[in-house]
Formats: sequence, C-alpha cells, structure tokens
Amino acid sequence: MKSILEIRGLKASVEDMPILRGIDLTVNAGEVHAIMGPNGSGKSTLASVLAGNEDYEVDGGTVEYLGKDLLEMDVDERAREGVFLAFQYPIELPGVSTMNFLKQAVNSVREHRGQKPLGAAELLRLAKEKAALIELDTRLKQRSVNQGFSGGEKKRNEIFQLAMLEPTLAILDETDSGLDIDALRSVANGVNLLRTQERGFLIITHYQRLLNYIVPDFVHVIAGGRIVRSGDKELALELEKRGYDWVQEELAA
Amino acid sequence: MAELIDHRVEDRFLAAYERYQSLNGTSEPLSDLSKKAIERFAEIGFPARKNESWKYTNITPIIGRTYQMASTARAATKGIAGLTTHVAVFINGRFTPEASQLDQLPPGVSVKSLSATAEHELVQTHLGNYADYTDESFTALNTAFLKDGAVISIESGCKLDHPVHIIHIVANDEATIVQPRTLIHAADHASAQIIQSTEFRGSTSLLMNAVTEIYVGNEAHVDFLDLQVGTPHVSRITNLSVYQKSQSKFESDVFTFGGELTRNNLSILADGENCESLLHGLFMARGNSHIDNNTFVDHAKPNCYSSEYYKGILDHQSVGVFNGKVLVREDAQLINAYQTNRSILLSDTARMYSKPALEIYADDVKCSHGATTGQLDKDGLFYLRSRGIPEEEARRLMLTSFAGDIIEKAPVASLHELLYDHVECMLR
Ligand SMILES: Nc1ncnc2c1ncn2[C@@H]1O[C@H](COP(=O)(O)OP(=O)(O)O)[C@@H](O)[C@H]1O
Ligand SMILES: [Mg+2]
Repeated sequence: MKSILEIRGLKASVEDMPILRGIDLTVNAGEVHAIMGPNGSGKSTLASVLAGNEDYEVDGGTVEYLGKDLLEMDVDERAREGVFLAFQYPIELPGVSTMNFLKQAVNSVREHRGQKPLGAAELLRLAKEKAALIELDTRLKQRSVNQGFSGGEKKRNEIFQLAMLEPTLAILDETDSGLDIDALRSVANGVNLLRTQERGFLIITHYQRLLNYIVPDFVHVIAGGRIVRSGDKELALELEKRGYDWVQEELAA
Repeated sequence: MAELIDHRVEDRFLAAYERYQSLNGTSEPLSDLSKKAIERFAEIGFPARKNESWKYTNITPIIGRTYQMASTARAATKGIAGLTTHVAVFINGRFTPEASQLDQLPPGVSVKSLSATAEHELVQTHLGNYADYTDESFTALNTAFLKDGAVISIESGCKLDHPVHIIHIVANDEATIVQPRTLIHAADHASAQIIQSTEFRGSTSLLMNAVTEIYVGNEAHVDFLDLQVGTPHVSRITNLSVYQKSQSKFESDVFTFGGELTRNNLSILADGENCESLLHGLFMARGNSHIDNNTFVDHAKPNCYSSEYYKGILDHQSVGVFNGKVLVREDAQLINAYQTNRSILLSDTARMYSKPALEIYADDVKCSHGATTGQLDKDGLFYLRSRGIPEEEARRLMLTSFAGDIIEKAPVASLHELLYDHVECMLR
C-alpha cells in the first residue's frame, strides 16, 4: 500500500512551550484516520505543523510526504504538492473576492501539476459542480472570502475548497464543530464523495458524532502531545462512552 | 537668481511675481485678485512647521529650490485608452484649447479659457470665492500668478454625457513651477463628472501647485476624480475647494501613486441643507515618497451627510499623512459625519501619521472617526498560502483587495481597470 504521510517522533513547540512530544503516525493512500483528544491536547498544533504554520517550531522528528521531506517545504509549496488543511477557524479576507481567490489557488495548484490553468468560465463550472457536492450556497461565492459567513458557512467553504483543490492529503481540523445536524450531514456526505483510493484523510474531531457519518479506518487518541491509543472505529465509540478521562487516567497509571 | 539666494524664500517668489507681471502684462479683470493675493502671500508666507496642519510635512526642500515659471509649449495627448471623455488639456499649467477635444460637449456645457471669460459674471462671482487665498499660502501663490485657466460651466438642469477629463501635460527641461487653475460651476440641477490626471514628460524637478474651485448648485451633482501618478522628482500641491448648495451631492476620489511630495488639500463647505459629501482617497508610496491628505469638511447647515474614507499603503521609507477635520457649526443639527483612515505599512521604516478630528458645536449629530495603521494580516497571508498561492501573489492579492475597496467606489467604472493597473505597478 502506498504511504502518503509518515510522521516519526514529531516534536513541536509554540512560544518555547512544548506541545507535541513525539508523534508517530502513518497514513496510506485511501485511508481515513481520525484524531481525537481533549481540548488543548495538541490536535490543531499537529495540523498547523503539517500545513507549515511558522508560529510553530519543530523541535525534532521527521515528516515524510510522498517520500519527500515535508518540513523542508514552504506553506504554499506544501499546498501545491497536495496537502490541504481545512481550518478550525477559517480566516476572513475582507475585499478578496472568492472567485479571484479560487482562481489563483486552483491555477497555482494546476500549474504545479503540469495542468493548464482554468479560464473564468471553466472555473465557474467547476465551482458550481463542487459547491453542489456539499450543498454550499453558491451566492457565497459573490462575497469576499469568508467575510460575514456564519460559522457553518465557513466550515462548508473549507470543504468546498478541498473539493476544488483535490489534494492528496486532506486534514480536517474540527470541521464538525459549530455545525448543526443538517450541515454536518451534508459536509460529511461531501467528504465521503471525496474519499478515493489515492487520497488520505486526517480528520481531527473532539466528538465521535462526525465519525457516524465519516467512518474512519483508524482512530488515534492524542493526549498531552502524544498518541496514547490507536484502534479502529470502535475506539471512538468507547471514548464516547467513557470520556477522555479514561485514556488520560490510563496514561497516568 | 544668485543675488537673491540670501533672502527669505518668500522674497524670491515676490521678486518672481514682479518680473512675471512686467513680462506678461496684466489682464485687467484678474489683476485685482492677483494683487490682493500676492499682498496676502507677502504677509503670511509659507506655512511653518509649527503650523498644526503642516506638522508632518516639511516643504522647505521643495520651496527652497530655484524654479523657472513654466513657459508655453506644444504637446499632444492620446488621453486614457478606453475612456470616452471630453478632453481639456493644460500644457505647463496653461489651459490650451487647441490641444483639447471639446467639440462634442452637450448643450449647456462649456469649457472655456479663464482669460477669455474673465469679465463674465460667472467668473466675477465665483473665481477666488471658494479657494481661500487669505489663509492658504499655496492658494495665495497660485492666485497671485493667475493669468489663465479653465472654466467649466454646466448650466442649470444640464448633464454631462461623458466626463470632462482635464489632462495636465508638463514638459520641463529645468526645475519648473506650474500653477494651473480651474473653476467648475455646476448650476442648480446640473450634473457632471470631472477627471483630472497629469502626464509628466520632464525629468527634472517639478512643483505643481494647482487650485480647483467647484460650485455645486442646488440639487446639482459633481464627481471629481484626481489621479496622480508621480515620479521621484515631481511634487504636487493640490487645493480643491468645494462649495455645496442645498440637496447637492459632491464626491471626491483622490488617487495618489508615488511622487516626491504630495499635499492634497480638500475643503468642502456644505452651505445648504441635505447635502451629501463623499471623500474617498487611496494613496500608495514607496522609496522616499511623501503623501499628505488634508481634508476639511465644514457643515454649516443642518441635515447633511459626509463620509470620508481614505486608505494608504506605504513601503520603504515613505511617509503618509492624513489630517481630516470635520467642523459642525452650531446650527447644523442632524449631521451625520464619518471619517475613516486605514493604512498598511509594508516596511519597518515607513511611517503614517493619521489625525482624524471632529469639532462639533451642534448637539444633535452623529459623528464618528477612526484610524488604524498596521501590517499586512499575517493570518490572512497564511490562509492564502495554505491554498497554494505563492507568497508574493498572496501579498499582492491582499493589498490589491485592500486598495480595491476605494477603487470600487470611484464613479467612473471604465477607469477601474487603469486604477488597478497602477496599484499593481506600485506593488511590483
Ligand atoms: N499560537 C499559539 N500560541 C500560544 N499557545 C498555543 C498556540 N497554539 C496552541 N497553543 C497551546 O498549545 C496547546 C495545544 O493547543 P491545540 O493544538 O490548539 O489543541 P487542540 O486543537 O487539541 O485543542 C494549548 O495549550 C494551547 O493553548
Ligand atoms: Mg483545535
């Protein structure tokens, strides 16, 4: 099976405070990995480090992405290579038109893949098709990126961008938080349609709820900056029942 | 000039005035005004830096140079591609009808030379009435050297079909001062869009000291857009004075890209009820550029609305200044007046001085003002880059959007693309 991501002994800190204390994780093509864990355990930090956020300092370990050293790449280079992060808190970009943004993003990625850039009409057609996939209100495309979007709209917009950019590795950071049940269902449905044999997913979530809709192949629990437990989807159900104290207690014991 | 070097810098201008008068003779109707202005200039001189409104703008190096008064020249212009306008050309500060294209003006609209119309009632009534030469040094100087200019008149109820585009061509081969003058009169119910831009063809120091007066009659509507693309040897002082009658609408859009030193003075007197005044500005500077926008809105009558929105992007060692003052007089109740200035600094050495100010003597008003200066939003940049957009492009996209906010407000839509091009050019 083709490996997409190999994380070995990854340590990272923010403002000199160690957060990740040695993460090991392998994601193969076609797999969906759920990452769960209590608030403050380092889930978003892991996502940020993988996306290349320079606020986070890598203190040790390696990350191989498709056989290349991911940590050596710039943020935008990672994205062009096929790494996508759906933000827990998507950024509002007042004045930046959504279509202009999509055009630059899609064409940057396409150019990198040796595909010809899309013209305005082709882009619009693609955007329509992908927006339908996750039931995104197409009127949002007329606005500035994320500006004045509700929490749910922002999250849908992240998945919409995922669909537009067709990454190899998709990282979803708490995409479910702030979504009502209908929105959750349509977003999950969109993600399921995007599951392919070539693509790997890292789905970060605090609650088991999302995993009823997006059924993971593996579930990992992060606590205190380490993966303290790994298993299949049953682990998520057990966590739901017994709470995070259970793994933390076990860890302390 | 050597014998003058030790004198006060003002004395050189006074001496130049004497020479100018004896060389050019006096065209009677204007000479009275001109004489009053030079006398006033002799008294007030150039603004000192302790003058609050010039605190952050040092004009000493600019006025200290030895300038020639601009001579007449021949030149032609193609104007701005894709823009349908009536073109009024000024060459070296002088309105030049031969170089203009004004034969398609609609009925009731005229663009004439000031010297030819100096005795007309319209000029007699309005010229020098709004641009204050008694208190503003540069307006006094412009008025003192006043020989000619353009008079744009839109008669009652008439409407300009396309904008009048005032193009200043300056072709100088030595350090030169040019002082164009324009009077725009929009009678009751008239409407007009005016664009002003400059083509600098010289490569030595240039000081342009322009005065524009605009009368906006009852229920009239005037848009005035000034586009300035400067080079490091061009300094420009613009004095735009607007007088609004009741239920009139006036909009100013000032775009300043680069230049050595720019000072845009804009003053509006809303002297009638239900006036609307919009003041929009975008300034972008880099290198050692200095751009100062100084605005004054005088609400003299009740029930008026004014909204001011200026944005700036400053790189390298450039300096931006925004001084915006709104005065609400005692009887001017029910005024809504808003002022906003936002600036982005792209370097550690660029500086922005922003001072929006309200002076309110009425009690039932809604006024606000705010100023922010900061760096490009780091999180926004990360977000764009995380979608594959290279850093340089991501920065450009954010800055273009920031500037586009002002561009999109500009009334002549066919100009937007050109304005975006200038923004793009400044970011390269
Ligand atoms: N940018 C940051 N600045 C300061 N502290 C941070 C930052 N990001 C995360 N942290 C801290 O790191 C720890 C882990 O945070 P995070 O990775 O966001 O956790 P999770 O996503 O699992 O809730 C928390 O204690 C949080 O306060
Ligand atoms: Mg988080």
